Amino acid sequence: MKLCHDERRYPRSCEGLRRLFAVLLVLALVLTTAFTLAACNDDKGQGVSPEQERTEAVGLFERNVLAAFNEKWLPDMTDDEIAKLDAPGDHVEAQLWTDVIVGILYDSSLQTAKIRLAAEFVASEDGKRLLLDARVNADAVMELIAEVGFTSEDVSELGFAALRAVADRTDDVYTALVERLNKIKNKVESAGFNNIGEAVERAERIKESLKGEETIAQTVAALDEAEEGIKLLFGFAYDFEQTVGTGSSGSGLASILQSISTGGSGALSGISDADAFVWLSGVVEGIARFGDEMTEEKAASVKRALASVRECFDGFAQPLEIVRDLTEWLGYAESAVGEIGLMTDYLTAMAVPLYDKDEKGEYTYDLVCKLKSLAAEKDNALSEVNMLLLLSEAAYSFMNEVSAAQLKAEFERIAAEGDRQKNMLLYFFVLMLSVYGGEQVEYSSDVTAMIVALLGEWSDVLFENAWREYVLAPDEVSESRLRRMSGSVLNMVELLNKALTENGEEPVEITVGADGDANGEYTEEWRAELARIADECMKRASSFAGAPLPSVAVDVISEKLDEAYADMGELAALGDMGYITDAASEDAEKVRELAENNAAVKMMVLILGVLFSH
Amino acid sequence: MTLWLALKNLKAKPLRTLASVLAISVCVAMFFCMFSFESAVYEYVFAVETADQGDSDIMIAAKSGGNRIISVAPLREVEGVEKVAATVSLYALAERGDEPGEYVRLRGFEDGDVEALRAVELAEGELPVKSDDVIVSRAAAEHFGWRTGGVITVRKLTSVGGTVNFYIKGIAENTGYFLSDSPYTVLGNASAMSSVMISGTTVYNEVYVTVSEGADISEVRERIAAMQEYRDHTVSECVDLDHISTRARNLAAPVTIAGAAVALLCLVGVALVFTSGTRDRRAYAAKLALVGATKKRLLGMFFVESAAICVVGAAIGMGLAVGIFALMLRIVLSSTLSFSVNAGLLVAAAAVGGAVAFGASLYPLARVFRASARENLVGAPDKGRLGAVLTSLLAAVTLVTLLIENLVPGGKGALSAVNLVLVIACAAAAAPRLVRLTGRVMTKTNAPSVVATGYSAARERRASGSAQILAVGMSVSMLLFTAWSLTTSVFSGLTAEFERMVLVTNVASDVDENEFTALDGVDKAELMVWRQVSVSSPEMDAATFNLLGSSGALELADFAYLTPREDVIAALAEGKAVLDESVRELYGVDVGDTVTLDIDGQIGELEVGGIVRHELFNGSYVIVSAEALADAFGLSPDTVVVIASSDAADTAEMIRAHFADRNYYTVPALEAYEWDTKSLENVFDLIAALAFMLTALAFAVALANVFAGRAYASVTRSTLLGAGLSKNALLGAETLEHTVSAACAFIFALPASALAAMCLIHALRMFGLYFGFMYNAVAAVAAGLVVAAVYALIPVLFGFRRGYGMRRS
Repeated sequence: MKLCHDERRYPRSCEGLRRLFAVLLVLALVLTTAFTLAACNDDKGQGVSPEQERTEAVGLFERNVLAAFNEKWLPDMTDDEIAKLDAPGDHVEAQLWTDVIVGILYDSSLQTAKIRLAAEFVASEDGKRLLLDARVNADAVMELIAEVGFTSEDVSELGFAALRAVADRTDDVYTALVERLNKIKNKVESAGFNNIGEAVERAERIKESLKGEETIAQTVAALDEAEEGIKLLFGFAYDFEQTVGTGSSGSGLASILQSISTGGSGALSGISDADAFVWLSGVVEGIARFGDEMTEEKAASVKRALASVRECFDGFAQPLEIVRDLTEWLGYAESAVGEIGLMTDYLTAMAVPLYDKDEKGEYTYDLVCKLKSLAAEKDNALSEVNMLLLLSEAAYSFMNEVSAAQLKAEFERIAAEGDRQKNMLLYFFVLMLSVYGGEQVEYSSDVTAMIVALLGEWSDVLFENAWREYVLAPDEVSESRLRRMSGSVLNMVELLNKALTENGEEPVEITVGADGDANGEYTEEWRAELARIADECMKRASSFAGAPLPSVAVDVISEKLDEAYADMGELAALGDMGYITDAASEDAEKVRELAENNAAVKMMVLILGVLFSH
Repeated sequence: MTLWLALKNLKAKPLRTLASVLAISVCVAMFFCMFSFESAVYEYVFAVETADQGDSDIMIAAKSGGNRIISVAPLREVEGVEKVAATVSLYALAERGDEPGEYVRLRGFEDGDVEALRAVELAEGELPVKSDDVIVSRAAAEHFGWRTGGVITVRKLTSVGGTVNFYIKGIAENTGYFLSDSPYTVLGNASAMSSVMISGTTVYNEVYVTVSEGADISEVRERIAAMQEYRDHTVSECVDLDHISTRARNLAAPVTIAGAAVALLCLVGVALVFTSGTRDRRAYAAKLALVGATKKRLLGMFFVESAAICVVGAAIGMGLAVGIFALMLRIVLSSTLSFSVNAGLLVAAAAVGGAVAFGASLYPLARVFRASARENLVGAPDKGRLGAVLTSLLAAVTLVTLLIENLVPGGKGALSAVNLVLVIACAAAAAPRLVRLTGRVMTKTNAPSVVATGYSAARERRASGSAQILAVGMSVSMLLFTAWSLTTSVFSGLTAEFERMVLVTNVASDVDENEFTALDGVDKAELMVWRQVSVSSPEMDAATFNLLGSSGALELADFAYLTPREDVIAALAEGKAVLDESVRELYGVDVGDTVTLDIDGQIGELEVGGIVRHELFNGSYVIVSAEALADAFGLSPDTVVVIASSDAADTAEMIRAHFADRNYYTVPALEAYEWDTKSLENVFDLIAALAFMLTALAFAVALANVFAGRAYASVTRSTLLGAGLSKNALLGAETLEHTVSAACAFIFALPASALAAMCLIHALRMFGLYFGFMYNAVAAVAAGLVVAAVYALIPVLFGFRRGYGMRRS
């Protein structure tokens, strides 16, 4: 481009134009670069820090949880706003507990996006329904957890944190509740006023039923010491539930087996026997690994912590039903945790047929074939006979790995421990053996004592529930129920006292009545005294027959074990039977006969029935 | 003194010096690219092919018709095994809000150890911590709009359905595992990813084994394959060097040859730039001789001058080489590719380029020293016949070598590459001769401007020089344009065949094809084996071929039957193999010969039953019936090839939705081979770019020659104007001169480009590529005519008329 036709004539203007052009060019270059950099600079999401995002997510969770309970409830409402609610007391209580949960979520290692997803799920219709159900229903809790997509790591972490918070913060929560409600009481009118009053009274009663600060501190310390073990327990329980649970929360072993059987659907449908073997052995190895990880030391610390939790909450009127269910479950776990190693060994012993090899040393996959066929079986008669066949095989395998002497020794050890839950289990087992055996039931004094012990335990549980309901909502109905339950307990004691007297023994002293204490009031002291009487009754019942009742139970069980092991030879031929396809065949008849007459098979059916009864 | 004179001379002709340096540096850069490109492509293809397995030696994977999940514990006890990395690999649909879901590959590692096979280069975030944490690539994040802290929701592959969420912990660069990243890969923990398929326990379906140092990989592989746990799995060595070599060669060959063409042109350009300065040099040499400079001193001075240009050009070329090399790699392969420069090759390219350029620069000196000082001073033309003799000799040699190439068996290959150069050299040598002859004829006419043109053409170096440059430039650019249009039309034809094809892999070997044909939008569905195998024969070294394992493969594409179709069908039914024509042409394998197939260590021999022709996989395919594969290799079909009635993408989407609960990987065929097709497209685009660049370069050199030559002709123009020739007539004369040069160049360039195309196609055999002879005359003529037309109009376009005026000599 010629800007100047004659540079000789117009040197200065040419030079000036060149400079102007150069400046414009540089300016254009700078602006283009700036625009390009700005366009390339992706600021999306950079403006919000991870902490802010997490705060927003938990805030959303809190908002949606409260809204699920009552659409008028919002977080951080002012006193005036709360005063206008229909149930201000319920709101404040829900807010305080939600704050605890939200705090747990924020401090956890849960991904922020997961918290947000949980918040969004809780806002949905399904989420609201499950959340409301989850207050009273453990299955709903599991379903809620599964729907949100919590992993077993999450469950371990949150479960432990929640347990610790319940132990550590319950007192603070109800203290804060009382303070807050007292503050806004004067602003509330009519129905709301009553609600506040009731809430304050309830909170006071709950606080009264709590143990002292020292007990709580000890419980928290024990929990902290057993943190790793408790998390391991929670994680395994969740995984096990997902694997073998039949509730809507889990995939269920049956549905998994169906999906891998011929004719099933899904990514692993119709997979080979070898694949099914790999999967099943993975499950068995997972159970064995859990047993190895739960060392004696860990189990002992877990047991101590759970015992501490039990003591801490003994007599506590737990307002949250789901927490009550959890502590009840923890009570069973306390008894069982020491046996985890043993149980996992026994389970893997039963799984030995899975690893069956032929003469060449190669896997036969017989058990896998049978499982797959069973999963796909539509004929109920065939299902039943083949299930019995499998149980028989499992029983034989177990008995091959574990001798009668070993089993008896374990039962004797359990009986000597004096663990109340385990003793109940022993008694229950004996009763079931007696009933299921098809023999004439002889109600000997031993059996009677066991029945009494079991009934007593049952009554005790019912009494504790009635006490809790009364503390939480003392009215005519709950009072009446409490009276009835305490009456049942006292009736059991009187029954036992009659028997003791007839035997020339000192009866258990009854110092309280079903109508309350000397003033006709139902107090914590009255409850504690009644509990002491019931406990003494249990102990005296165990010596009623002249020998510790658990030992008596073990003797009965040992006798049955001897019978079972004596019949072991009958089970040996079962391994050669393939999958039975004719319910009227000789093999099928043989299996049914065994199931009816063989002690080992009967015991196996019983044990598995007990284990998977829920 | 000599040095000072040489440098002074260089400074006196800055344009020429710059042009020479530029031509030499481009030449050096192209040499370096030619030397290095294939090895760089090989490294890249190696990295892509080993992206999944890192440094592992053996891979154990699910096998169609065999077992799907793998037991890991027994492997750790095998002798010779050092390390075992167990993974689960699944294809699942990632939800995208309201848009249809898109396939991603989930890859879960044992205990979440995503760096078990190779390191991960994080761009942001961290490696996975929790079991449902994942990392994705930058490309995937951009495509899906994912970010660190975000969620990926995938649909389960179970009968009950549902979804699983994964949480993005980090975003990685597109290197390592994510180098090819197609489909987009999500890395995480095997336990969480297994849950997409089944719950209860973690399962693995791809296990990588690293063998201990000193242990024999194939022995360990055989040991593992013999174990009961792995008998029904695929146990193969991770790295197939033959396949990698084949892929690298296919990609590198066209670029290497195009690069050679550019380098050649640059060398010619260097020679021509120096040649165009012959008159100045002669005059300068004469003046120096007159003041007492000896021949030795003159030679020394010119040597120093040439050396200085060559050294500077080579040095700049070394720097330019890296940039051009990087650009070529990024265009052809990947924008995220990182590469290393082999310093030895760089120096070698500089040395070779510099030396060859130095040699080319010395050619005009022969002219200087052959003439006397007086002849040099007045610029007397060379009346010798040496040029004519050399041209005839060159033509004779070229004819002989062409005959040998086409008539003697085995003549095609390296000789073709030599003939490619000779043919173009012939055109370059003959074009100036025709210009001079035409000029002499034109002087016999009556029209003044024609006569003036004739004299210019016959006597001036300018016109013949331009014709020579144009002949080379036109030949090469016409060749490249032809190659571009042919390859893209072949490629377009090939992609058109694949446009309606959908591949469904990961299917069970007994899947019912009718399940697919029953769907709307599906015309045909063929269950077959679709994988890569190694094929060899006594005549042919092992090479990687694509196995089309079904007789129905003949219906998938429009094959040309060199063996009658009925015979081909009968051969397949008898368990024989069918190969492409290229195998016969390249290696002499024909019907009745025996070929050996190696499929994951299983070796079998098949008789060749027929020859067909198609551009599929560049001819590297073998068709065998499914029954023959089952009998000879125990191989079961693993892919359903679906022909869609309309859009392949829509059909693929519909198939995915219909079979959402199965671990199928459904993808349009073009997308499955996206890396290859995109790379080839990039290569073709590169060739097109080179074609345009070369054309422009040739044109620029010719233009420089025009302007350099015009400077000397200003006296002649003044004389003509003074003699009464009008400016318009003078312009007409110059335009006519340009037309003559262009026309003469075109006359030789057109047949030269056709012959060069034939030589190029034959030369590709050196790379194992076979194509039938194709020549797009339209593209060649069009390219040539455009160059010729623009060259002819230069006097008009550049306003030569404005510069006409009386000048003193």
